[in-house]
Amino acid sequence: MSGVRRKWKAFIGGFEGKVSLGILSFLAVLAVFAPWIAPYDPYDITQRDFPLDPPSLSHWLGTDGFGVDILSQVIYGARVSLTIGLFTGVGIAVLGGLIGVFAGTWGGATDMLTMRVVDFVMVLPGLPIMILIMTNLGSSFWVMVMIFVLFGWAGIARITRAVVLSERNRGFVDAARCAGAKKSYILFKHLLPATYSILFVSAAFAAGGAILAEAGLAFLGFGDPTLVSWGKMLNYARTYNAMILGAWWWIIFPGIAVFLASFSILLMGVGLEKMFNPRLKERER
Amino acid sequence: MSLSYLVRRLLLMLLTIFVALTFSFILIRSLPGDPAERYYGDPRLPQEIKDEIKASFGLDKPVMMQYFIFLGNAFRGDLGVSFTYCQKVVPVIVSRLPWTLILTVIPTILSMLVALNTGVYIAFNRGKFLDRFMRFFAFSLNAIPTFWLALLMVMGLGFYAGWFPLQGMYDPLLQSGWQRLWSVIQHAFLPWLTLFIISTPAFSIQVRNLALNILGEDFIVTARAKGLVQSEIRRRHVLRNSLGPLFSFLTLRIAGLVGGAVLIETIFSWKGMGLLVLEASRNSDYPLLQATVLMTIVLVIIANFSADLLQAAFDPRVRYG
Repeated sequence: MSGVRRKWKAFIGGFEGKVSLGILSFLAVLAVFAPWIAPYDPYDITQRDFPLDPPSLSHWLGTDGFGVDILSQVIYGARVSLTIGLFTGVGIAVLGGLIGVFAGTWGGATDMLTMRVVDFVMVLPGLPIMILIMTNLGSSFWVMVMIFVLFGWAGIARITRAVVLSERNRGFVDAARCAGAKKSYILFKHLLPATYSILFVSAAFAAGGAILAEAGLAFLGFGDPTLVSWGKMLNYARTYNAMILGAWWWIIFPGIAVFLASFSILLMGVGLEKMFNPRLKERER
Repeated sequence: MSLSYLVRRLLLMLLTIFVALTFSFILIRSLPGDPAERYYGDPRLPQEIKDEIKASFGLDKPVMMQYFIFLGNAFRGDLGVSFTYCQKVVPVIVSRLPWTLILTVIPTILSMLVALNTGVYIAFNRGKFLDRFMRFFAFSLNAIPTFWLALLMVMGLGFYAGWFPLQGMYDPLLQSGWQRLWSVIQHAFLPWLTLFIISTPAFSIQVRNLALNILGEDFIVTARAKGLVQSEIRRRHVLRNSLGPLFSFLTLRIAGLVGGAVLIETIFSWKGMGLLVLEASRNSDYPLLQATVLMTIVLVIIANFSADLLQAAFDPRVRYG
């Protein structure tokens, strides 16, 4: 237990850990307690005010072109962004980690074929293909998560494979093999645990990327039609010509929210990286 | 550059394009819905006419046959007929291609040129303010949605300052060639600036890290020992050696750049391939959508191939390794 506590101290002691956890827990509180925190309910069609009200006491961040309170939308939007980041991060870490570990352990033709697939997936331009798929399947929360996982696993698979390749020639793996351990036993007992630290870090980076990707897709009009999200707010702002109407608050605040969410998670990735690998810190100086 | 290296890379590229074709065929076929159904739209049509439309699309043949026909047509440059444009899709896409290239290639080249200098400079001044600032800036830019930055640029520099047109590609009223060119540059300036701001810090940090590795090499010690001045070391040894690996970093960004063009082109109403993807999606123009996505993939593959060749041109270790 003391090992975990020491790691936690190393994480929270650094600049990255403090800042990222601060912003992230703030956003998480907003997301979880949105109905109690938000001054208005953006889903309630009766709670509309004058459209395009600039920031004021009754609407801290103003209202959008439909009279909906921006602050409430930003608070509710945290739900979509954070859950998409969470599910995508976990999904990518599991899928990419498993594929990477299997490729590294089995080796041979399986490994070569997997790595060629990885090379191919990594050069695919994600956004147009995502649009193609979503035009056919329709836009919904789960379709989005699925697409992000399908396009995101490759990088992590490559990294985990590299870790496995360096680990599997270590003494304890040889010892286990000599003792007659099965491939699957070595895989789950020795090789998989060695990749955990890198998986956590990669999951954080993937989650940050997913939040940006969700915002981008929603901005293009492929967001889940039933949910308020930051990207969708920006999409409405653009199609409503918010800029020409001078409604800068409609454009600026959702973007800041996207930035904060993605920034804090990426920063958490850096913090985790330093926690797992203290030597990184020295190299930077 | 050795011929065998070139041939090997070329074959690999053709193979990748072939895989991309197969991938897109499988993707399109595995998505729900029937292309013929989308074409006739009305389900009350008599069955014979439905069958006839199906046959005219070749959809009555077995899937493997369809795959080979698709491959054959694709290699002949035929990817179907657009519903909205009522013409072959390939000319439509090719007419959009130069605009996407103008939008993406110019800022990328500029930012690589600038990054080579700033990157080497901050490597030599490692740990100082500018170095730390650039690293933090580059990291923060990873978290900024590119399209939002573009929106802010349009709002600040276009709308409030009034320096640049808000959207579009050129002023259609201008007739003469030079005026039109100038108009295109004016319209392209904001998207160029956006892409330049997004990619320069990332490239700089990449160059910085490469340069730091190079500075630890023995030949730098030799150069110093024989009395070469700092600026010569920077130019001849560090800059020259970071050029090759920088191109391999570029290959990692090309897919994101070309894919992200959808967002930039939407904001600036820039009629390139990215906006075509979106238009086709809005109009349910499935053949056009599929073909544009496929062409985008092929474009990325070709761009990666060129970046690889450039890397090999600047880095002998790659072409003989």
